[in-house]
Amino acid sequence: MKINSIKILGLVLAISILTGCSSKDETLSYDDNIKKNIANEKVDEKIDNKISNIKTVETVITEKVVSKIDKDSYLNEVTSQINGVSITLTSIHFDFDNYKMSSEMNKISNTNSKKVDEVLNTNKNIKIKLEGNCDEWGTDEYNFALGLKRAKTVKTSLINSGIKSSSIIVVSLGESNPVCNDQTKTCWKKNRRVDHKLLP
Amino acid sequence: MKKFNKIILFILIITQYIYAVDAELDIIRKNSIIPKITVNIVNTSINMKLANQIKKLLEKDLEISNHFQVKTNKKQINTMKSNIAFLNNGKFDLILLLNIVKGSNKNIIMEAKLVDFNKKDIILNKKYIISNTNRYPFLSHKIAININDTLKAPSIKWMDKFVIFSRYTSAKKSEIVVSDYSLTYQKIVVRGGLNIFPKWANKEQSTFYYTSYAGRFPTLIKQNLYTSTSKEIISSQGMLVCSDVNYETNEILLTMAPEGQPDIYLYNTKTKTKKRITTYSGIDVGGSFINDDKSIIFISDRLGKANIFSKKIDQRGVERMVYHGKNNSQATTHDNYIVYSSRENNNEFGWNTFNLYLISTKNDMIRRLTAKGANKFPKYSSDGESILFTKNYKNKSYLGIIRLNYNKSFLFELKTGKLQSIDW
Repeated sequence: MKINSIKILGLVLAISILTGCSSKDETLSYDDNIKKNIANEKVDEKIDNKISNIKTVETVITEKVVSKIDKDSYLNEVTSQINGVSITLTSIHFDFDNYKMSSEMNKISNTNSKKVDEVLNTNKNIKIKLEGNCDEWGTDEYNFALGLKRAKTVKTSLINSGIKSSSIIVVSLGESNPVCNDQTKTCWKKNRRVDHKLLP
Repeated sequence: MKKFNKIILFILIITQYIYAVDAELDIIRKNSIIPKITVNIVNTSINMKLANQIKKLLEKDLEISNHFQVKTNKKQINTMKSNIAFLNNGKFDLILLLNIVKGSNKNIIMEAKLVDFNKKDIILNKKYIISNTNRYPFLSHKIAININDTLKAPSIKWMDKFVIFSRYTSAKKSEIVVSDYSLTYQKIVVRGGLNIFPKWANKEQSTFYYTSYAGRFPTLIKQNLYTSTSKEIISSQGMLVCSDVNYETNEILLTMAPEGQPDIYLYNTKTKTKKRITTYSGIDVGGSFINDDKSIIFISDRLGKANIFSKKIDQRGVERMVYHGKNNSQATTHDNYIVYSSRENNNEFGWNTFNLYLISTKNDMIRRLTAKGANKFPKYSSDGESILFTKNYKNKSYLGIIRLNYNKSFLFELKTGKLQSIDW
């Protein structure tokens, strides 16, 4: 019986070792367990090599244009000067997500046409630039296209009034050129517009 | 003897049970439970302020990856060689030790050691160098990526990539900025005048396109990020945007208006020739390559309001892609999925005006991805698992990241200016 008990004890001990039961009291010093493939500490390449070489390019822009907003309405006026020639024109404004001119705007465009005609007749080298603008309510690339459609609408109106197509350049500024930043219906309407400027 | 055999049998059965439980725990860990990790700065770090900045951003990176549960350890760790067995109390699976030491030539070295308590082993042991402390965000992202890769989790390599964006600073003025995805690091690369719609020209992110308004007409510029050399590609009256670059990087999609009419063109940068892709008399913008660059998706108002269409480059017909929403004006694609920005109010008064939606082109699945504000400019990551986007809400501008597989989104505020467009 005694021999059998010893055998059982021995067997239990052997099985315990084989199963690899870990003892909760084992001291864990992981530095001793560094595997060979990461034992040689690799100094990584400079993380910021690429970033340190990034350059900045700066452009200087000068443009003499004065924009005046009529506080009592949403209308915008732009005075531009070039080579001693000055002209003040009322911007053409548009409804939300729209590039058609209202009858009120048609009248303003007709008035603008006469002033433009007078300037272009006496200054053959000058051109008129139409800048289309939008409010902030739209995705920007679509807004640039919408601003362009507005500028093209005004161009068509000027051509219909007798201005030569070759004297007119159209450009869209999307929502990049607001005349106001208030979160109001009036401000957004002010920004939905086409401005007129002189170009050499 | 019979009694002895019974005892042996009993012991063997118990032993098998123990093995089975261990194996089951291991399988659970691999399959469904994400490991708990704690990030710790050892007390010997020479620059504790920088170390804590790196730690905070690294913890955010690990959280955003969604492959780790980030936990806090309040106990002090004094050296990188500390015996940290005392932390093995079941609270953590992984512990990351970080230590900043001085390098040569004013460099800073970050020592990083990742311990796996389950394996009882150090599984990552690296040193990282940066020469300028302002660039620490990239160090945080690199460490997060290395930890993620060591654990063989799905890739988060996108965290290392530059984001390029333009921001309006005032009327007719914008800057182009290169940043990390969290907007923590920012460097202005183009300044002065109106410079918009930056777009990476190659996968290496060494060159980019953008539209400059410095001249008489909008002009597409290609600029080298590192040498600042630039080249004029093409000009157009009206407007000009580079909206996509093909896989070979020799063709680009442009929205331009040489006659004042906005259309999409395919431009070959080697032969310098352009081909008009759309001919509708209204608005066609925002082309992106799909189907191995043989087709495009684009935005058009040909049905009255902006919507998303597709077209084979060499054929005339177009196909409508989205039937939900009244006004869908920006889109990005990956495999059979489209994420687009949809305007949800008919006028300019309502909030919640632009939201992002994910749809499949193969079935009727549709999922809304955002809830508040003006959410625009969705861009898929190259692996298709994340979406970058911009949000404007209550006069603040944000860069957003949506982790599609985990249904989570994260926002990073732009402190200066208003986001105009973005690419990564």
